[in-house]
Amino acid sequence: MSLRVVVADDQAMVRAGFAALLRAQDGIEVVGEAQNGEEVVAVAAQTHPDVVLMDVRMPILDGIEATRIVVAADERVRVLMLTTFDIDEYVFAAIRAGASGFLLKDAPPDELVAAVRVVARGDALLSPGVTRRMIERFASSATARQGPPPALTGLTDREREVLIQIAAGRSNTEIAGTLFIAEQTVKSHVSRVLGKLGLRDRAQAVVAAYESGLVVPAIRE
Amino acid sequence: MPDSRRWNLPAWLHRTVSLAGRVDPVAVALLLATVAAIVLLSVEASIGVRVYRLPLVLAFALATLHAAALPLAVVRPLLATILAAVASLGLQIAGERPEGGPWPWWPAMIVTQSLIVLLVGLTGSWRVAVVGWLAGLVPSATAALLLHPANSDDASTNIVVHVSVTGATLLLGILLGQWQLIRGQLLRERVVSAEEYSRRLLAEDRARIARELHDVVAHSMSMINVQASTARYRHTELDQRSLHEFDEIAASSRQALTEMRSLLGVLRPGDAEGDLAPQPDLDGLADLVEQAQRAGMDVVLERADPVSVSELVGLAGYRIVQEALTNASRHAPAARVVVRCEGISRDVVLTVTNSAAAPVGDGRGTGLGLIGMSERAASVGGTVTAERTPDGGFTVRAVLPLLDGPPHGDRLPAVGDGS
Repeated sequence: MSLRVVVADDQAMVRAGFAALLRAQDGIEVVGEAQNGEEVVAVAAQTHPDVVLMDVRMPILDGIEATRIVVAADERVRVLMLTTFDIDEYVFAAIRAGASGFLLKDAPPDELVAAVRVVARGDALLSPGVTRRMIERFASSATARQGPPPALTGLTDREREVLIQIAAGRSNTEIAGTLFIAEQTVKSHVSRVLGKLGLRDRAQAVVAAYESGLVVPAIRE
Repeated sequence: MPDSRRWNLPAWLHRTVSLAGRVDPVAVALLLATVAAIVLLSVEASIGVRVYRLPLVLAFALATLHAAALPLAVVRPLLATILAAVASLGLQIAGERPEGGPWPWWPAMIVTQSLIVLLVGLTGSWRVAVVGWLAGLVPSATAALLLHPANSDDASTNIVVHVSVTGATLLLGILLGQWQLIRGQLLRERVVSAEEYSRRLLAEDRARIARELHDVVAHSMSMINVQASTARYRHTELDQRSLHEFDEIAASSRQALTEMRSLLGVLRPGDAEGDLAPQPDLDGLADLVEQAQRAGMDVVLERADPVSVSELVGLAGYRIVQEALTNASRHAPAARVVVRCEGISRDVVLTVTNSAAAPVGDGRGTGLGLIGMSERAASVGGTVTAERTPDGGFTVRAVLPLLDGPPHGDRLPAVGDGS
């Protein structure tokens, strides 16, 4: 079964370009396009995509608000944010809103295709280096915090270890290698961690790991 | 600029003010003190000879020293108080006590001492003034008691008079001096903070302009990248060579974007605005006018046929009209405002005109709004003029090229330039 993708961007050229690029790939199907935040909410509700490619900057309803609504309506959908600028605040806000990762619009086509697949599979963090740096910076700041930090009391020691590995940006395969356990075991640990903490995604897991204090940001400067 | 004339002082007043502003207050005080010193010197010397029976030369010498303390008090307060104390004591001791006449303090000396403590209080610290006052007082009182103990009652009366008069002027001098000091500090602080404020406004304005220009360019650049890198998927008929060309365009636009991003990091000082809507353009003028109407302004938009401009010109035009509307609402809130947007030959001309209205407040702006508008216009090779209309209203007129031209001049005008 092929991946169902919706492309949302206010620029017709970007929509057409990305849609054409994704259609040309095996196993990816573009099921809808939207030119603003309001439209993408409607299109997503109608087509139940696996992945939404979402521009951050859109008229009527911006990409972050649209992400919040789309993921609240359908918990299976994964949102991949597209930005022109790698402005950390936006990206962090996007991940808090429920996006699984972000990508610069000028990323090379094969990177974009790979990103869509990674986000859909959910077994690794997108651009782990950048994502971690950004979460490190914001998760520890008081302004980013909304409500008390998540409690990790329900986790077993093993699951904590796995969460630390996720926060370090490692994929399931890498975690399996580091902890000397089977990849299948890692996978079930990851899904139990996400389930217990009520998280939808690895990206949110990184935020939770920092906000709970399980992982402490490296001292900067 | 034409508007600024209204707020200029009348020419004659302006000249007087600037003349007064250039005169050194220390020089004025020195001059006055010297005149007083000459007058008091001649009075003290002649009284000293006639009434107190001093030898002429000695009377003249001591009176000169005493009077000299007056101009000296302006520049060297401490030295002046010492000199005055010594000279007055000399005059008192060297002279005879006239029967029934005022002694130890001659009336002329009281005047001189009063002026000296006044000047020291004004120019020096209050401590020096008080010490100088006591230094003149104590030795002469002691001398009076030692030299003529029999007539101590007369001397006491004289000293009390002296203390009252000089004490009052001392107090006056210190109060005036402190008041001057505090007022000067306040004035300086006010000037400094006003300068800082306008500099910060300008810097913020400039940073915002640069950021917006940057955003627009980066946006277009990323369009180019997407278009070039997806060309092979959208046009299956392209041959290998064309595909290669497109890939190269994609690669160089990607590189340009990377470079722009490092620039953006410099331009965005930590506080990215949470504005996720696309940058506004001339199509946004209708919304802008509507917003102003909702805010209670009497404003209409007159737009001939839609002009198509580049994103940068559109953004510059939008911001200029926005600023002009803000100015109109601030300075002429009840006036009728007309916003006009028209294409004239190869330019788009934007005018914001308000009818005559009672000016609000002192009517003085910082002039920063106009500088900001001019900088915006200049960034796309256009100009902004602002002037009073014949019927007493005000009009801001921006002429921007339909196609981005090379910016006029070299760069943005220097800080502090202009109005």
